[in-house]
Amino acid sequence: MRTLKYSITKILIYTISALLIYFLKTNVFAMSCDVDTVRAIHLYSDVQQSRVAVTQANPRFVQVSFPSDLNPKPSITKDAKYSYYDVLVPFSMTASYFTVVNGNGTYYAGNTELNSIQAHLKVNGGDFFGVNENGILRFRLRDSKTINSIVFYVPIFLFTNSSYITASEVDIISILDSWGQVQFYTCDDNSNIENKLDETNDKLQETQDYLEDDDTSGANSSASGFFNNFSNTDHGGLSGIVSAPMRLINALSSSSCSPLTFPLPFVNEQVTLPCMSPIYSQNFGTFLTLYRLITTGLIGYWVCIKLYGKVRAIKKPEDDRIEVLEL
Amino acid sequence: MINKLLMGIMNLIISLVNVLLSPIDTLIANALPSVSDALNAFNSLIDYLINFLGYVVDASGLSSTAISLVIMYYGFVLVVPLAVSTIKLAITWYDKLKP
Repeated sequence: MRTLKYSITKILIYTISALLIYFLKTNVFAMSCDVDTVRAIHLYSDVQQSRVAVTQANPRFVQVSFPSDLNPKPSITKDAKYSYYDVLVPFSMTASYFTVVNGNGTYYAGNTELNSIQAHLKVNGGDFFGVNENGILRFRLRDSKTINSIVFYVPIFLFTNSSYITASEVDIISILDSWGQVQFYTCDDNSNIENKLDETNDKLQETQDYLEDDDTSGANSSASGFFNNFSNTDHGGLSGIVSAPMRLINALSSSSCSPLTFPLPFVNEQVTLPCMSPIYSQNFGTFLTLYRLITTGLIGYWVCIKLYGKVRAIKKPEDDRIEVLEL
Repeated sequence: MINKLLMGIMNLIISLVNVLLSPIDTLIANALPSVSDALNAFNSLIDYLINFLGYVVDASGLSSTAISLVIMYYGFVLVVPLAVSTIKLAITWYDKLKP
């Protein structure tokens, strides 16, 4: 039997340890990066029907923004070598259209090749410019931060017959209308562990505040409401006798004095005895105080002695008395 | 709050005693009606005496603190040993039932 107990205890300890290790690995000490969210977003141009000047030496950058309600969360992978955090934004552009206008009117209209894109990342504490690597925008951040918005700047290079236009004005009708996919990465790095510790500390603080809350205004209703489903109205037969002491104590805790009225034998008249406390207080004020002081002290002493004895008796393993069942 | 809690625990135990003894009560009521009447009469007497309890306590002139101490003591005596015994009983059952 002892061996069985030992085996069960050992299995329990191993199980709890395994669960604890799994929890720590998956929630606290995990250092791998997983794709958190993959969102398909619609990139759109907010510069339609605007006129910009473009030169070969100074191509204009047209701003293309995400929808304002996107507000992407941190999308970060940690570069182990340089301690950077990378935000990867794969993109593709499918169409663009513009017209070139000079003093003589429109002389060129058509699609242009947009094979370059620059992105401007707005984060808390600073701005960062991204680089374009084979259709993937890569942002590098020193720290894990909340990304407020990502703004694309599309450089406009105009060329006809394989040569750039030296000076021109461009009516941009539609720069791009494309679908991009943003992959958000999260790393369980040190910052995440710190966040989890902060969450744990917050929960501990909530518990501490709850324990130290001395507002007990709702305690009475809560305590009494807990036992609403129990009824003590039926005390018939044997159960009534068994539970009689408890009914007596229960009645004692909720008793209040009411004048006693009973018929007087042989005279056939009702006698009413008033409550005695007001009479005592009126006629024996000082003596009553002294009497109550002494009786309270004696009863308190008696209760303490008895309670001490009861606690010692409960601690004895051979003591199996149940006072409730002792008639 | 402690008073309410104590009353609730008392009511709980009284209800449990009623549940546990209800088959025996039913048996006595059906097989031994005279004994059942005697038991009910005794219970009626207790109920009648409880009606005067408030007056007696008031007439004794004891302070509310002393009454609370007495209630606390008897509450402890009637509730805690039952709880301890129940736990012991559960452990004994577990000890008997386990392979």
